[in-house]
Amino acid sequence: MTVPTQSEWYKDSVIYQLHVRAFYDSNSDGIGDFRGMEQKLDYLQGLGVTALWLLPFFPSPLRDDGYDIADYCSVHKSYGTLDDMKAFLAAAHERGMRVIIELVLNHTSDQHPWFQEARSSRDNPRRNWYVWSDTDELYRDARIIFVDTELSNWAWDPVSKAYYWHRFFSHQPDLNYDNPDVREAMWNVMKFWLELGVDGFRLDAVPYLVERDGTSCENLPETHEIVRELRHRLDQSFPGKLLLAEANQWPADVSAYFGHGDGDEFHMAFHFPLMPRMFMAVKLEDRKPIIEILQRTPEIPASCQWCIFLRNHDELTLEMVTDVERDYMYDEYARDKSMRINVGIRRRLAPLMDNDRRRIELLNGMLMSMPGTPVVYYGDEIGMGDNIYLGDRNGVRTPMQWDGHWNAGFSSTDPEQLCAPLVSNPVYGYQAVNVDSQKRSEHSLLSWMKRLIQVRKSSQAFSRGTIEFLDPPNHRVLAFVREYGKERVLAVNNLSSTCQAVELNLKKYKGSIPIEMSGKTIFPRVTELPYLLTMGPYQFYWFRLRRI
Amino acid sequence: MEPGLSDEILLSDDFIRQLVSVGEVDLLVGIRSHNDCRTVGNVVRAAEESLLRKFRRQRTVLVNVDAGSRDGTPQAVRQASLLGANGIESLRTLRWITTSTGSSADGVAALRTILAAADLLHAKACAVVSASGEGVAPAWIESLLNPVFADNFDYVAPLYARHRFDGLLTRNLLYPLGRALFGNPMRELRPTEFAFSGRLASDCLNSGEWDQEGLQSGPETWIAVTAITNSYKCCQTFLGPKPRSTSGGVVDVIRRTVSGFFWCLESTEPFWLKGRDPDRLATNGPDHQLTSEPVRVDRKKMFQLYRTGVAELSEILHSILDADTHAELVRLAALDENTFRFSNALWVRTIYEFAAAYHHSVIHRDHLVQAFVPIYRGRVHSFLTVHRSDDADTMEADIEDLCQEFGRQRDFFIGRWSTKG
Repeated sequence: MTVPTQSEWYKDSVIYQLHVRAFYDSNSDGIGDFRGMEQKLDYLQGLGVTALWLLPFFPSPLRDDGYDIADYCSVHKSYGTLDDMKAFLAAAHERGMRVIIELVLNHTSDQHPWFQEARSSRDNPRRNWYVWSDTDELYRDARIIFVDTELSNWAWDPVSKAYYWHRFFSHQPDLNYDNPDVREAMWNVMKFWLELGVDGFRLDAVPYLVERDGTSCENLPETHEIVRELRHRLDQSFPGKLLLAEANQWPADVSAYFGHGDGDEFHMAFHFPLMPRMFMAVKLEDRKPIIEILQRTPEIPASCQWCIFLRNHDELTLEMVTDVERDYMYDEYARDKSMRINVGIRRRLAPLMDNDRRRIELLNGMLMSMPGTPVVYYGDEIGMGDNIYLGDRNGVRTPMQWDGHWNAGFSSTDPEQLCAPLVSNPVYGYQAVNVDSQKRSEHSLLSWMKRLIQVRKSSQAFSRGTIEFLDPPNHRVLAFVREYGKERVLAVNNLSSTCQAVELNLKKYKGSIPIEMSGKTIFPRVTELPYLLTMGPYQFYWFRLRRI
Repeated sequence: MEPGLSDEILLSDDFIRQLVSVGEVDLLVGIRSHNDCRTVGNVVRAAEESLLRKFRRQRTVLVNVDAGSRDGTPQAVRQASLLGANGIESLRTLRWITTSTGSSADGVAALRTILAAADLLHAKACAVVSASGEGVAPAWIESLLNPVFADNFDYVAPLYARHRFDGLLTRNLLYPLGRALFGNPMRELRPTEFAFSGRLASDCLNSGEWDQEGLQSGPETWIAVTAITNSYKCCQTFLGPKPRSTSGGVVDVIRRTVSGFFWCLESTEPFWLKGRDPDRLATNGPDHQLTSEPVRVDRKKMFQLYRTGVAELSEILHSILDADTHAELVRLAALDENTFRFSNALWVRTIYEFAAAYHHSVIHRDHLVQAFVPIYRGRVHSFLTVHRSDDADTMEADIEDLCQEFGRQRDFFIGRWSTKG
């Protein structure tokens, strides 16, 4: 099997996000590596995912879990070698899976040779690769993102006796994209990996590339210009490769990153505001937050696609909600203050859902049926827990739980040597939650996820279809029709913890026969009358609407 | 009666369909309307604003039960609702249920429908407001719902800032009589605005009393008395100024109020006959407030109606009242208007005798209550004359004296109530 070559492949993908370090350790040093990941590709293929998104694996002092890169064109020695990475890439491709890697454009580590050179003297040729100032007065309208740790976006460099600009941690100096040499260098980084065979990049922290005084220093036209330039070069030299934007912004601002016309910037961008609203809708038992945000989401170019997710390696960000909504989310999902970080909640899906299988399934059902390419975060397919007592966001980056034996099957080293402690409590610990035991049960979350992904992939209405929301009087039910070509899928989600009856106005589909997609069960034909469905707590249905 | 059967008869299929769509709620606000096109908009907006601003996180529903309005009230509700939520951020969908009870303007079916909605939707707290309430403000809804929702009260009676000559039936009869018999100092026993818990709603709905004639006269009073006499946790809460009622039909109001209350005495006899120590009633805000802007009252006409009534209804009054009481009323009717005074003692005795006569059905109860109307007018004339220049505190002191008088004559009343003849 090889990677299919259809255009716009990213639209039909189901992406699996994973961390090399936390997935599987092949050499017993307590740290996951590329060889280990390669050994687990059959598992991922069996799950049904079609693309893998790797968190940063580059040489780094690891003060921000690899997002502080010290060398863009190599592999962190803990994770293996460049050859190991190439072998992994080839093995993934053989199994029909594409590989997307991180590209941290905005900043480097302060240990990167570029920065070391830049700070060495004010006359150094690399000096202008970063943003320097003699005062910390510039760009005061730019917000501080890591409010828990940083007091300013400027940091004093005692070596060159000047301030340097950083939007994230102070050990992550921002690159100066006004400098053409920087832009050329980053294109060369991209070229390096593309020539090795990677299928795309998730571009981290995109909105912050350029700074201008008197602005928020976010989403500036100059930033878009840089992205357009990269995209143009990508299309020219490596057609079919993907750019995915991480821009934690409102939909109207993010949609600008798709560019003009047919889309001349990113192919995909994460829909950040949708994610917290899915959680909010389930807790409120009301479809309002989801409908509202999707109605506020602008049309995007035909070649582009949203990327949607429930959880990822970061906190469940609450930047793109109102104050009222944020307070609600904190109170409902993170009453314990240690669950909170920055402007968000550092928890995995299962604990957020109180390990309620029905709610975990409902959220995954919504993820797989709403417009966009879904991303599954490693471990969430088996309902892994988190460890809120680890620092930063490390609590959601613990080792993958493969079995109930030594170190959860992640590594054969001493437990004390592991890159992060395993989750070991009786509810979410690896003895209770692991791949091996779930593989053995047809009714496990893992088996259910496999079936869900399989059904999702059975219709392009999910991946490429339009969406039309139905407006049943029962607001605890979220119902919509996805349509692509001749395919129509009706999704009905009960957001409530109690049974619900809902009457759907399906007049438009009169004559169709709803066929439940999981069990292929035929339901009564749609007529002019309201279509009555009764639904169990947190239940959802996907119906293929067939005219026979 | 089997409760399910009652519900089936009461609720239309469309109403049930709407209930199904709304599902379980935390808070319910019921708005009863009947030809309230002019005022309903304000009430709807107040209710919506309160729910959206003060109860953002709760599952809420507004239920409008219209008693067959012909002035476009239901349309006014819809229009006001569209405007009401403008500019207010909400987490949830604001839910509405609208229904009609046909042409029944007595409020019983409407109230019962609201209780049914509260019961079926498992509402934790419910407030009822009248669509004719010009003074209804968002804070009212919050003040009514909060004691139930947040503090676990089962029944919340309102307190208003009233004009000192307003609410005289309440101050001269319901409040002191209720206090003397039930031991509960609840001020408003026939409220147009009140709140109750889902538990109380459910118990009231499932009561077998709904077909009783007495309940038709004052379902609000019945709910209040049910709460008091069944050990539900009650409180009263200050809402604010209540505009003077300009609606006509004074005779009808008196008739319904008195009839409804006397009937409640009958249905709760085991409770109050035992004798009650005075209860303390939790009160949010001031327990009374009187305003005193000048108003015109035609006292002369009142006195004439009293005098005429006592003369024309002499035979009926004779069958209701003790001979001494009747004679005293006749004697007063012969006085000059300026010297006419209806004392607290006589007023209390008269009421007690009327209540006992109602209980023993010495004459047709409707006739009995009709005969009370001129007596009440006489009392009001006297009350207004005595307090023409008094301030609020002096008037309140007199009401307190009246309460004491009701208490002093309580044993007399129990004797009359317990023995026919």
